[in-house]
Amino acid sequence: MSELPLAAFPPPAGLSMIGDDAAGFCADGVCEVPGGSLPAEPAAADHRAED
Amino acid sequence: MTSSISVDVWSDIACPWCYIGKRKFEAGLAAFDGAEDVTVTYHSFELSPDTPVDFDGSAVDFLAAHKGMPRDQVEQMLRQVTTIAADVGLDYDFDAVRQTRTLLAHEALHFAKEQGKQLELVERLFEAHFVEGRHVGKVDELVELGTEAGVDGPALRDALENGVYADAVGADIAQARAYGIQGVPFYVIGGKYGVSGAQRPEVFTQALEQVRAEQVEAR
Repeated sequence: MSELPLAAFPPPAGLSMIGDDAAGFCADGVCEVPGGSLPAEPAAADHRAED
Repeated sequence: MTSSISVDVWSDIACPWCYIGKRKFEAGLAAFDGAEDVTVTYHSFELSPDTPVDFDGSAVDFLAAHKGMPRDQVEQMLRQVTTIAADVGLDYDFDAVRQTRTLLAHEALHFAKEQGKQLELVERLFEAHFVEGRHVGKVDELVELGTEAGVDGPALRDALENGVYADAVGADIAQARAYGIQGVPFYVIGGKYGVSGAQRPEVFTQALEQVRAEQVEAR
């Protein structure tokens, strides 16, 4: 079996992490997508960059 | 003879990625040859314990007011999450979502676990919150939803009114802290592998296969 990619998060104590860093999660009441793999909204992103 | 595989899931009813992750995990589990040996247990994680039971406003209002996020950023985030939810068959309606503290919902899930109905209630609460816009933070509503999920309504009411499972919720949160879990959903598979976030179904299948392979090797 091929080796699984490790997640980008700090490994919790005693656990080996499996998975990639593009999965959505919520922390402290805010939900985000690490790795920026969501279907992009380039127009909105560009607009913010110009600001 | 095969050994059982435990999957412990930390999640919050107020977490949109947790419901999406539930669908992805279920797809990954369905693809695993040995799904009948897998025992799934949900554990409590309060993303935002400072949420009032009755927040007067929308999800956008809540995140903007309580988390200090710009409204356009919140709206964009919710649009993206709604799109991804649709990809796994979930019809999120953030305009209807009623923000509330989820402590009692977690207590209800512990009660449902004792009755062997936890998975049914998890699904019912997520659907009620994200799809139907129902309140999931009050005893009356939770008893109604619990009854719909097949748990003993009067006994659930008694447990919620007396805080019978408050310590169990606290223990789950303490365990999450001990693991170092910072966000949800978070899956502990076979007590050994951590999977963070709403990963692709294949990730869950591979993790389960890894645990199974190690069980076979250890024999």
